[in-house]
Amino acid sequence: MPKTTPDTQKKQQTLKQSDVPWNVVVLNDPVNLQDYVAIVFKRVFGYSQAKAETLMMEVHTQGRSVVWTGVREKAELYVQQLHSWQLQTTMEKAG
Amino acid sequence: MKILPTLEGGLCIIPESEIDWDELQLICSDDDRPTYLAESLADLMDEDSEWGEYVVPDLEEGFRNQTQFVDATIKRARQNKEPAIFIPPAEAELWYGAINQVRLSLQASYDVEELDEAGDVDEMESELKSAYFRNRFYLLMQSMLLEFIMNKAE
Repeated sequence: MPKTTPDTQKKQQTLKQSDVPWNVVVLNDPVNLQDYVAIVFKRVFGYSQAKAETLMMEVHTQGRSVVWTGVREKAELYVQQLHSWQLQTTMEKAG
Repeated sequence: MKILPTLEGGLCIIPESEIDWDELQLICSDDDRPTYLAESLADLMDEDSEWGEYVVPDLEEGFRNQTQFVDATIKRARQNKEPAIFIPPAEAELWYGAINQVRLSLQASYDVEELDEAGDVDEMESELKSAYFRNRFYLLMQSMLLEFIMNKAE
């Protein structure tokens, strides 16, 4: 006797897929100014000045920075907000 | 052209020639720019996200609001007897966004970052020289918006 019914298995699969964390990744570009990028991180994520500057410098020096990790739906919402501030942003599966 | 901070915490732009006004109006010269920008940002997402269908229209509308607002403000100011453009703190982000669209567009068309490092501006072709100086001018405006308004609001 199987431990779970097919329905339960399907639900568990769906749950596993939506549970996979996603990274919100901001990419470097030659136009957006450093102060502006830090302001955007503070506005969108509510980060402190120090954290916003650290992430901004990571974008600047390493070409990209993972600025947030979590569920897909929320990651998409953050990417949309960062796009509206004209930051080059994408998302990827974490790990 | 002069750009000065105002007592209310904004900026005042005082164009001193027709060229200055033309330079300002070029901020909003391309009606398709908001569309290009929204679509180029969508290119960073995978197809499964359906970004083009669900997000691009909203992004485009937001970018278009920025350029239309700035365009209307400049045209209205140009008709005044003592023309000057006032940017109160509440409107700084609209201006910043519209100017950013132009700079992204100049970067995409001319790679102005390369021009910055090229050295002798006098040796450049006139189109490149124009792109170089426009980018420098818009960069200055953005720096002032950040320094005098947006950083203070944080």
